[in-house]
Amino acid sequence: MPDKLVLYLHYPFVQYALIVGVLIALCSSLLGVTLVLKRFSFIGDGLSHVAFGVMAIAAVMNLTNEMMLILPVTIISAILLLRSGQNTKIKGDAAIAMISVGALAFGYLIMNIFSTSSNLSGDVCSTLFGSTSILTLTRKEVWLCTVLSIAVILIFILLYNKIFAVTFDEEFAKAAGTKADRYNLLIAVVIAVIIVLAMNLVGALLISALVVFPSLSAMRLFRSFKKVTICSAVLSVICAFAGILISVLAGTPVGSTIVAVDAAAFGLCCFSGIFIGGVQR
Amino acid sequence: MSIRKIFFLFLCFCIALIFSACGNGDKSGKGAEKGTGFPAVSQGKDTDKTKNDNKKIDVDLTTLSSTMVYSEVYNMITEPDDYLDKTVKMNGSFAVQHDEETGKNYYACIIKDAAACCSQGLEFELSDDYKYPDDYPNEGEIISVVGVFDVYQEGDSEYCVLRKADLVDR
Repeated sequence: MPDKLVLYLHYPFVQYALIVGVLIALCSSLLGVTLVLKRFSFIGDGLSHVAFGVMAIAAVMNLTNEMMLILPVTIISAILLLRSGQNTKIKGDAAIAMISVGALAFGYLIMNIFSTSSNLSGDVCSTLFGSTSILTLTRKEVWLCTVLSIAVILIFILLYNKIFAVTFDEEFAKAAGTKADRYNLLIAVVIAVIIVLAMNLVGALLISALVVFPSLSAMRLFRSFKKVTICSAVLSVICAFAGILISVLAGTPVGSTIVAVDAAAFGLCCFSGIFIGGVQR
Repeated sequence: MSIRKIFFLFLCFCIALIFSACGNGDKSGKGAEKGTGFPAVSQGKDTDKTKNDNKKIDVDLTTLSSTMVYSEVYNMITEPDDYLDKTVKMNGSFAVQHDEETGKNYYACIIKDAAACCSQGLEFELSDDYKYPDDYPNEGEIISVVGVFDVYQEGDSEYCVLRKADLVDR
């Protein structure tokens, strides 16, 4: 078993998968705390389905670099969904549901009508569930993911206090002179970038797990925003790392293995939280 | 010892359990060579069962998990230059396709990913000693093939193939 692990770790695509997987897990967990507290846990699903729909269009258009279309459209969708403090006729959860299912259905329809693939079901399945996407990254994609992930992490670290203020009490932040709308816009852009990257790791349908599970697990143990964020990041990285290794050793789909490990970690943290009194009854 | 330290130790123990979870139990090979694009051959214990196994195997896909096999084959197709002239051994299901335009039969070894929803394969060319269909397996039959990786141009497309291939025992 250890011999096999050492053998697998020498494959370049396994190294790429671990590097990118850890970075994506770290980014998604950092913003996950904000999303869960703002009651936008399902935004990951909504945006990933939009990205899927755009990916279908890009594939039909035979674009060489699909990211050129997917990233801007997903960012625009994130901005529209996460607008705060404005008069919206369709509220948050309904808007997410509408855009989510509409984009998914539209994307699948487009792929069926204008199919350019010899294995449509396989392509759709792989995109939705991320069975091997993270293990089939090209070097360019690895660099792109790495640069974007580092940018997200730097933004979060540098603007931690502002993000904290906007997350917990947006009205007070505005009254204190913080330009809350701009920070909401930045959060929306960053979330869109993370979602597009995370589709490579766990697929479009399982992205919410990367956002939700680490944050909720950390909230079982700690109460302060900083401790929850740090714990969430550590848990997410460990679970993503373990999930990838388990999937390559056991021959299981990568995306669902990572989510299963995340779920197991949540269970463990719930139990630990009750045991150490981290959760007040 | 505080409760939080106990919890931390418990978490480390669980993570250690995850990493030591049982796999196939088969011993893979001699470990990786340094400085090569891919790991060394995993001969395993079963070399005495293979026929025509005189060739040194550079890329042995038969000892990898299904997830790794799919990813490695994908890598071979997208980055073929790294694998040119390497001897490859793989297991998969036999597929044959007749092209009306070229009038040729194309034989392939197909593998699927872990979710079994995606499949891909490598074409192989057996020596002239093999005649289709008598000396070839039935379509869908699980085979083990060893051949030398190569690429060729046909029309506007480039294709990967295992040349000088032999069907061996699994």
